[in-house]
Amino acid sequence: PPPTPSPQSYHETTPRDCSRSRRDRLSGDLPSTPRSLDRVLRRIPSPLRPPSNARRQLLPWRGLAARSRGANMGIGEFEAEGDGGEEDEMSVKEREVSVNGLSIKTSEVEAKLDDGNIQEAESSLREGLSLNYEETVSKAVELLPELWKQAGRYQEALASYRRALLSQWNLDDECCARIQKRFAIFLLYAGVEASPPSLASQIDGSFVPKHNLEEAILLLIILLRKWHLGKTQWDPSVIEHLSFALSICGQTSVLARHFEELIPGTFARCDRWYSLALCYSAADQNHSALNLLRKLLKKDESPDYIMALLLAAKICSDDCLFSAEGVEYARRAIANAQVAYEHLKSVGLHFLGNCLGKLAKIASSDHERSTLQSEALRSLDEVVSLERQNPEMLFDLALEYAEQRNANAALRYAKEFIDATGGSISKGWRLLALVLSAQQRYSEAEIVIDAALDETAKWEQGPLLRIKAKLKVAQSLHMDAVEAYRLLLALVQAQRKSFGSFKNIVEVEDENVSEFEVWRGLANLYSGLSHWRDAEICLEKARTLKPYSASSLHIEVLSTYGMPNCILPPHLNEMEDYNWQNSLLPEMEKIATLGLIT
Amino acid sequence: MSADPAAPAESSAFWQSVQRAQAAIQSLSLILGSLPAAVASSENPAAALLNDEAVAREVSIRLRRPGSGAGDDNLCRWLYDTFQSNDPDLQLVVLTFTPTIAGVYLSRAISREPLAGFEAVLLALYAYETVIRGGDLETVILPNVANPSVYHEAKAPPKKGAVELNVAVVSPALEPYGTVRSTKRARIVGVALELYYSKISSMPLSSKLALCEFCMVWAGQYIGTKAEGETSVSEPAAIAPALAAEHVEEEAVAAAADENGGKEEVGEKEAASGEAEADENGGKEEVGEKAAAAAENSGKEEGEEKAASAPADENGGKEEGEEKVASAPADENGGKEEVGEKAVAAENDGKEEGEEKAAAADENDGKEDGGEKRAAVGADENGGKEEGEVKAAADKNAGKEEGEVKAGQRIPLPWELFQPIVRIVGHCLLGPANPEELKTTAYAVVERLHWRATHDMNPQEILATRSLLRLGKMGDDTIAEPQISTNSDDYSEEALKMKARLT
Repeated sequence: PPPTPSPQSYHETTPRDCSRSRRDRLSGDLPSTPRSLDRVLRRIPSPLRPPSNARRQLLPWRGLAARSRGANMGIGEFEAEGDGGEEDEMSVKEREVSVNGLSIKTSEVEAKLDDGNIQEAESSLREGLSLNYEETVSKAVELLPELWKQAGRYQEALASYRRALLSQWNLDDECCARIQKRFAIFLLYAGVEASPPSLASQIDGSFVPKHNLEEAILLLIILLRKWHLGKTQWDPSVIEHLSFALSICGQTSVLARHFEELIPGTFARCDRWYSLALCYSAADQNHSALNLLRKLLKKDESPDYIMALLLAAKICSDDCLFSAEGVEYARRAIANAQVAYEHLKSVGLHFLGNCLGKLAKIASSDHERSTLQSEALRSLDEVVSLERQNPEMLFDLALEYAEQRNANAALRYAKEFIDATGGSISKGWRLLALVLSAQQRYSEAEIVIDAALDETAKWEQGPLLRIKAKLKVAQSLHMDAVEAYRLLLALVQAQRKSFGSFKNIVEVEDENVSEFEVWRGLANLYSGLSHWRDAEICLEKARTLKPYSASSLHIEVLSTYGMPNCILPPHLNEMEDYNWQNSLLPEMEKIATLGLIT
Repeated sequence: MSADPAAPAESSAFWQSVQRAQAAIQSLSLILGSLPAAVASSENPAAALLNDEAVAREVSIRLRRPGSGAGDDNLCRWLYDTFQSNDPDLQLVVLTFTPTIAGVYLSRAISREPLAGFEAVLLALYAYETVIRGGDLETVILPNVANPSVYHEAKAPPKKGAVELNVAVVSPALEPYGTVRSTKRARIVGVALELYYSKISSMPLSSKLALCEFCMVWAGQYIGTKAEGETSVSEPAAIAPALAAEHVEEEAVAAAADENGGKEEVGEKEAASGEAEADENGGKEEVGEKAAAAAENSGKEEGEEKAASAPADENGGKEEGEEKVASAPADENGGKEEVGEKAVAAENDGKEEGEEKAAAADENDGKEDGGEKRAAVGADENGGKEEGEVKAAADKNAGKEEGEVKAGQRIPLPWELFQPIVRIVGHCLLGPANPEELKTTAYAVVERLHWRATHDMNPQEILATRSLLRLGKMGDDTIAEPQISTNSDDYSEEALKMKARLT
């Protein structure tokens, strides 16, 4: 808080002295004040720099300007010591004091002073002229970066924002919040590269942002916190800027936390749930997202919220268990896709098709399955006719046909998908190869895989090489298969080594091939060739990676019985103790299906 | 920008940069014809070139021409050479055209035209960014407000070691690439756009508008735009003017395509012939070399490259053996392209009638089988037959393209492409001191991107575009900017009062 001015300093009664004493106080009592700001203002380039008079007005502590209205005498400078002549002129009636862009008549103040009411005179001066030093400073501090920004001097703007926020200006909460928000916006959208704040402003152990985005996010989070603490008013743009920034860097789970923390009433409940569901779904927490959407789509909430219905349908279409529920959501979305949302009808149909396809997989009877399948195809076909440009549809249609063992149609759409995406999406190539191999057209499938390998960077070739190896196995080209596995192994091992560092961690995807899988594939291949020793070596490797895998044990059993005069190794006997049927059977089933791929 | 002429060392550097810029302008004038005198005789030629609208317009018209961006495209070569001059001001000039290059390239790449010229420029930008980042990923540390920061204090003193920090990846690690593989296309263009974004405050308006225009095309169109206007009910009113403007421009492009139709076909055939292809590969290899040289800067990368090269080399060798590709065995790239084009040829054969919706499904299937088999045969053989097929593919694409430019090609927008786009559009919408025209256009783009995100039902994209949409709607009242002019009248008490309030 500023020191209350001592009444003694007002012992003289002219406005001039008033200004004087103010100046003295400024330079004396408050050392941390506007010297630097003044310096900065002086450095403003010439077109921006106000004419000298105006500049003085902008900086009230430099001088009070008084204007005698009646005589129209021009501006007299109270701080100018020598111009006593003008002061005489000032003593004409109707004098005015102006400062800070405000002016009042002096008569009122003078009257109070005459009565000896010094304190009252002071307060009326303060009120009338906004002679509140802090207010003036905070306005100047707030204005300066905006001026730089307008002048296109972004580095200076950045520096003055930081100076405004990092120095002790004693700004009030709202003013500080405004500056913080504008700075965050500037950092987010100006596209200016900012160096981190200087070391001077760092306190030991405190967090120092090193990146535009980092700094913007920090400021926005601080703003939200201030609002939570009741220091500032609710500003809806803050959460929007934050959600832009956090979704840009893929941190939607953090965003979800901020949505959750919002005080009830800031958002409609349904909107908040939908936003949360978006955040969770983007962060791969689909179950949480679905739970929220279920709440939101209840009869007494917003059962017709079309975006929520679509999101729910999409989440359900990923999992057989929820597919029935998804069908329901998709149907409701389609029913609600009227007039304004008509373009969303195709989205609804898309997820309806996917959910029906999934549902068909777990159908209890053949009749039910075939009904569901044809219904799935019908809705997917309809989307393709509505939205011919959308390649994703072609892929889903191809997949659905493949599921239904209609290889020709699957082939057609898989090719269309590759055409429509220019071969830029790897799963298209893989699907085409798999469909071809399902038709036992292995050599053609291989050509597709080779073409895909050419279009794929080294690190992402794993899944393609695996298919290639299996294709070779299927053609009984065992030595070629061994070679393909060898390549795959080299890739996987190189990946494992470099993934040890943080550098590439994001590139690890679900579809990447594991080293264990390669060893197991090789073991399988060798045991098929009755190369028991080689199979044994591969199994040994596999076992070091995953000691208790049903599939490698399975191969081991085969190879053990295949080998002459061999006693069952001890750990196979021990397996009995593990009650392995219960724990391992599901995995056996998985292996069985995996085996079906080729 | 320009150095202080007083210091001798800096002054010579300054003159060198002026000379470089003049040389670049000289060679550009050979390509474009005459350049405005103001550019050629400017004291700061690079800056003049950057901000000259006439040159920008001429270059972007040429970049959009049908058949542009091939390996023998002089303009692309100029852009490539100019960027490789490593003069920061000249590099900015090249970056100005990133939106147009990326836009034309991505729209055409799907139809597999030869675009080695564009690819060389994009790879140069990618390699530059790779070197700058040292191949590392870009991360952001998300602050925990429970701990103090430079901007706030926390009640609890920071506990050492217990600080929980969230690390977010903004841009994944960069591997050096010598060619554009189709699955890496989006990433390479995305990184080029990230580079563009980092310099966006220096970019002229026309360049940003070009990006907005292409975003509209990439995002795709509302359903039923081919026929009735009924569905336009679903379009928010604000988008309408921008859309109309875009259509006019598209029409113009299409008209140009029609005019040059004949020429274009010739160009395509030339590109398909062996010579042009060799040329292309030459260009690519050059880029590759530079990228590799750049990669040597960081030891880490090199190590990884080696690790990866083991399977890669063997893979390459094997392929050659299997497929008996006749053309130069050292030229891995050549082999690749032929395989790719064979595939196209085969697929196009099968698809031909499907596109026209004339053939019944069964018939089509039969045809495809044929096409597929031919591809298989093609792979085992070599020589003249291949060339014929490649030509057929190229011709087909040429025919296809005219229609596509007109319709606007919706392209796959994976996050690696969507993210830089949405950041650039965010700048156009909410950046400081943007003209109204840009803001209006950017708002329309955000709407379109949001539409696309909801159609793909991609939550992350929906969140990002929805926020921008809402912020755009909130309008300027959230961002107060004082009106400053040099007119001294503005410093009257009233004006100052207004500014000082600045709520």
